[in-house]
Amino acid sequence: METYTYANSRKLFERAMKVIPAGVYGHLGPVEGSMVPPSAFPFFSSHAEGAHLWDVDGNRFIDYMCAYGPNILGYRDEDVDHAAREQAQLSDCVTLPSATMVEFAEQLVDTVDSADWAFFAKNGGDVTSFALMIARAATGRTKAVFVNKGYHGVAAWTKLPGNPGIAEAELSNNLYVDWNNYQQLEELVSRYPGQIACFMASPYFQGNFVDNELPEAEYWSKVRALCTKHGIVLVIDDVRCGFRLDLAGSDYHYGFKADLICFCKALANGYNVSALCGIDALKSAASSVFYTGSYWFSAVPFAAGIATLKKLKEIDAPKRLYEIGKKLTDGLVDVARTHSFNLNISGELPMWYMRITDDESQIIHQDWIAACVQRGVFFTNHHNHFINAALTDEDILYTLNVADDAFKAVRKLHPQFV
Amino acid sequence: MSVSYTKAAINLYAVLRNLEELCRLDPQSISLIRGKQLSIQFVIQGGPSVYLLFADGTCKMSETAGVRPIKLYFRSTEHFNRMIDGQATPVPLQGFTRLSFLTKEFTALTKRLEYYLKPSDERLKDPEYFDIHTRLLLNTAAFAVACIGNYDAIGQKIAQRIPDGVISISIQESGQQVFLLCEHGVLKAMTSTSLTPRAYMIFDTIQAANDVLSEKVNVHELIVKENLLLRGMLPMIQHMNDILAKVPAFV
Repeated sequence: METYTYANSRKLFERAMKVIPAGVYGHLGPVEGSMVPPSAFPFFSSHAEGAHLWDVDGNRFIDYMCAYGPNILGYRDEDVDHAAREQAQLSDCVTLPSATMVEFAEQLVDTVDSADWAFFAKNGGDVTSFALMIARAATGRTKAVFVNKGYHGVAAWTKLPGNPGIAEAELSNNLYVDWNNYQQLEELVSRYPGQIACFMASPYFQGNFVDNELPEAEYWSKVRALCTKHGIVLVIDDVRCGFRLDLAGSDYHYGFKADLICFCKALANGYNVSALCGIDALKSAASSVFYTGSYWFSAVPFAAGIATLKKLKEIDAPKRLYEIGKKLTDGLVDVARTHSFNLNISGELPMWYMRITDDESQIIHQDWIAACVQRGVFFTNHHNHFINAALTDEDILYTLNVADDAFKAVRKLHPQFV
Repeated sequence: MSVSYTKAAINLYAVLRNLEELCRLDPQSISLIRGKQLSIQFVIQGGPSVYLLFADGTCKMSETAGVRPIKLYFRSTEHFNRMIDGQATPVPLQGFTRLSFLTKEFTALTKRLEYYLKPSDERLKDPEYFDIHTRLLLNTAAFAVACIGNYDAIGQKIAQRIPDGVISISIQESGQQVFLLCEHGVLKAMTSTSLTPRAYMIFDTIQAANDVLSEKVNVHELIVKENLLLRGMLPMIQHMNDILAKVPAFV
């Protein structure tokens, strides 16, 4: 297969470096560890449709990062875009919120099992931070328990000591437990009686550079019982996998009920809105915290969100995403095996994590990912990937052909591993 | 550990350690120790302790005693740090007959070290000087990272997050390679190892390495242009870089 080149991307990046910190900042940037080596990756897109994106050099990619999650139905989904356009004809950011906000909240409350109310913001970080404040307001306590290496966002409280720009005081109320370690949580609750406001975690462990881990049997039921017994607010960060496992929430999927649940990414198929849903008992505390932002009442994303939820239900999206994920990952594992590599799949299939386990440094994995990208399949190195509903069997077949050719290229680079 | 302790450790294990490399690369320094057979012990009250061994025209830092020792005592880590800054003198406890080495050759060596570690714009134009300066800079950075990770309170927390294994930091053009071993949050810098690294930080040129270590360039730009290539278990490098960012506060 011919491999892509990225002359325009690089030129644009050089321009960007002059006027934008890091050129492309954050997790979409080429220096954050997911795009290694950078020369294998495009940096800027020109357009996208369905399951595909095109870069500024005209290369087409099957996009398995889905804008790092938001693209769940396919880029430029006609139903969602139509709803958004119709709302845009009426209004978007106005002094008074639109009726669509109420309708969207009603839709969420009807859809999400644990939700008695919904509050809207713009990013995952907005709603996880709000959840923390609500828990403190409701309990009068300050401490919060998080999972070691469990990522919740970019706010100061989500960082670690020694991270640039972070004062230790900002982390002084944080406590940490290992994923799936109920005993550690129980011990913390005993050690800090009446001081813990909330336990916040993603529904399963979505770490990077390591295999994702699902909850052990009874883990969540035991955590739920412990939180209830000690008046600790149980917050589920469903920002990443919300609506991919179950439209009723990932807590419902795993058989328990969160007190607060945070959604973003897939909520409106790329229109910028996030939501915090909660139980009645926390509605008053949520009302007591002053929290808002300049564009948080924009009507267009609400209309897009309503249309997204409707369509996700119509197509039974979680089932479909699982089936596509299964077909794809089974195929990738088989292709790897034919080249004597072990590709390990972990996490949930609608946003699977994959790792070639044949070397400790993961350099083989990085080389294989790079070779796939250069052949038109946009994977990244150390992050879970995302399935969207627009992926076709033809896309999967193309992906497996690319994977095969990429493994051939890697085998040439690393003959010692085969 | 106190800030002063960490600084003393860096001055000893990272800055003074450069004498090893200097006495290998710099003809003037080599000539100063030619034929010398003795050692200097640095004893710092409440601080780290180490020997510098001079033998057979080489200099080596060691945890074990050497021959014909000169023992230098420092009342505190602050005292030692002031000596490194040229504002205090040590208290000799042993080796009085060899003190002339201290006042002549060793003083000349440390001046030579300063010459290479504190460059002028003019000197940097000389390729040979630039090469040695960058070598010492990279060594200093690697060993200082280990000291900060082992002794500084925040550094220790960061070091705990570095996955176990070896990080290789190298300059392709000169072939220089230094290593950082991390085991359960304890760091050890080395100039050679038989262990296979899990993560690689590769500068393509001496210039690129110098630009980053001297904080003259946006490191992101070098990464994207692959003048600085990062490979392998990147969290090892990312966490190490958080420690590296603290080095200027101590050196």
